[in-house]
Amino acid sequence: MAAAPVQALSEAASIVFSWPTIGWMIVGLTLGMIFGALPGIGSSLGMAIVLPLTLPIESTAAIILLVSIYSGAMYGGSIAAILINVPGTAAAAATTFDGYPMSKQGNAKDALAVSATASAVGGALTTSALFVISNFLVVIVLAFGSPEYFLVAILGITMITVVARGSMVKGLVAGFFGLLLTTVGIAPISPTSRYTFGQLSLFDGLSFVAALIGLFATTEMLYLAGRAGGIADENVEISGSLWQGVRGVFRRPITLFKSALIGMGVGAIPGSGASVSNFLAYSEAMRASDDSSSFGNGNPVGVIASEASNSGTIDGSLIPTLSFGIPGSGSTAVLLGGLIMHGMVPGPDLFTSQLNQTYALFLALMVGNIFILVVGLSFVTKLSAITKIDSNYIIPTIMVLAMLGALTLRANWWDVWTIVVLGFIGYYMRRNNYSVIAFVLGFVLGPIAEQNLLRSLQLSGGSFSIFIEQPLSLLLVIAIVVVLFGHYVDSLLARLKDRLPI
Amino acid sequence: MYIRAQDWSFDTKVFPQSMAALVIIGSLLLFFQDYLPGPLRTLVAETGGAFGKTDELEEELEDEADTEEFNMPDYGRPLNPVLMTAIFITGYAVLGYYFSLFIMSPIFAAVYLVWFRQPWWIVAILSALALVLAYAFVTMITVPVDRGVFVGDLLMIGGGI
Repeated sequence: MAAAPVQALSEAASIVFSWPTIGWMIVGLTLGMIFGALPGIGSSLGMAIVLPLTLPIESTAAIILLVSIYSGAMYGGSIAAILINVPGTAAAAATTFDGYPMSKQGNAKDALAVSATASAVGGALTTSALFVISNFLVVIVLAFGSPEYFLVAILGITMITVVARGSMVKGLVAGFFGLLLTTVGIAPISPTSRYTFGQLSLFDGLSFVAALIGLFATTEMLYLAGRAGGIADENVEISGSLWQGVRGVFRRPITLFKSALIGMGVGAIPGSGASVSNFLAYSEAMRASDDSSSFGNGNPVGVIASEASNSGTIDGSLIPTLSFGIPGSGSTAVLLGGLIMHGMVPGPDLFTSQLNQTYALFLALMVGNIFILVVGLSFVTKLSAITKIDSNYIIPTIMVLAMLGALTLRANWWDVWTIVVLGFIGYYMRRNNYSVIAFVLGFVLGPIAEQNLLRSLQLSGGSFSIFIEQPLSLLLVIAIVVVLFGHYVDSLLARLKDRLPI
Repeated sequence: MYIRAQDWSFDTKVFPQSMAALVIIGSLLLFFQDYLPGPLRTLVAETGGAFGKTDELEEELEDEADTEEFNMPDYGRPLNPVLMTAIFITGYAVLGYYFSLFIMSPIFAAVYLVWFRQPWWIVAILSALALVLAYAFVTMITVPVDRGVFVGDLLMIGGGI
């Protein structure tokens, strides 16, 4: 039975503000800030490592813990970006452009305060928007049937290959390889075992969570091993004014609002992630500024744009994740794993019968933004210590957690082999410009894609025309074709135009 | 994977065969891209990058990161750090299967840190941490990390789960 939004909101408040849920939220935000501040860790890896440990925790509290890690890491990434010019997460990359110069000019506190405030306020704006949007999402989601769900899964993968840099064909190969690996195990309709080689422990297929741990933890640790042992070599001096930083954010409401919305919009596109929204918002702020030459030399507007957008990305990425089960980023891929593990299946139910749990998630994000602001402003001078941790201490710790976590999932040693093998494959993919996120998305979407493909074919008696019969599915097919070939056609037309006589 | 699916029913094979075919076609296109005709080669080799100018900014940062990456730290060891880390991770998993993760976790941490020349007290602390984590997994989350092919129920830390 659908809960009215107001009633759902009040139930959500009672969930969020109860113990131990609020405790888990604080733990998640703190862990997230630490993970985010440690270059090479970030929200995806942190969430992937913590995910198996959430098994004993109550479902809503577990999801709130994961989403709090995500939120905390987005702010945490800016700490290293500002203090030592090394973004803790890809989402904080654009923060280095002006955050680090501000730090070198003796305004590190201003920069950190700007970061905390822009993250908190930007996030609060987009979370509020999410409450409003969610009421309309259920109408859209209910219009989708099996053919549309299959096509949305394919569209999700094709969009990543366009958004991510590197060869589009490489991205598609990675995505389809991810889809292929999900066919290991018992087939969804007939009781046939596929690619199990007679191994009973493979009948349930490869674990999606183990794949995430391999691709985010093992791969990252291999990358980290190839970088210098220490992250921050010199002592970081933190000076400046916190309140000046805070006031600076509120003096620029348009930049704040626009950047947050850019983050939300881009975050909703599968695979784009916070790094893209970061740069987009920064570029837009620079374009709209009267003093664009000061960007890159310690202009706080650059930090506002970057940090507000990456907070907006969190809320944006929740839209396709909760509506269709299509993650908007690596972190939401892990969150999706958590949702499925804890029995919260993405789709219409999350906006109808489980609306209170969904609102609890949004409310936790809202409250989390306040926590980030308070902690960011109060303890910011102490947070620089995190950046001094040697990566050689991090690697064995993370790998021990990853191995133990993998065995926790199903007490199945194939999950341990999965994190090792996929970790190496992920490393190879990154070194050779294959999109890891496309691969992750393929792995996530495989079961959805196959089940909906088979259901659609059963409905149509085996005919593939079902995918173009309805207006919505036809539109999705057209969107896939445009996404795949649009850029190529564009550049072809541009070349033809150049060759035509004037 | 494509050939193996031939004996299955239509419902069972349609998805894996389609995906396998797409992976094969894509891989062949990439492998032979230098020999493809002009327009097809452009399609295969061209980057996505739908966000134009932002890609330039991102590329600048990644170029810097790549330069750092190729200047790998030198620990005075014969093999490069990434390869050694991969070997240690593989050894940890394989030996953990035979001797249990409970025993191998602190050993992995110790061997890794000693190889990368970390101070003895760091080796001691992190090895102890690895042991504590393994113990916590067995006792609090009741994961059978104290089991291995050669160890069996020998350790019985989790009360013989």
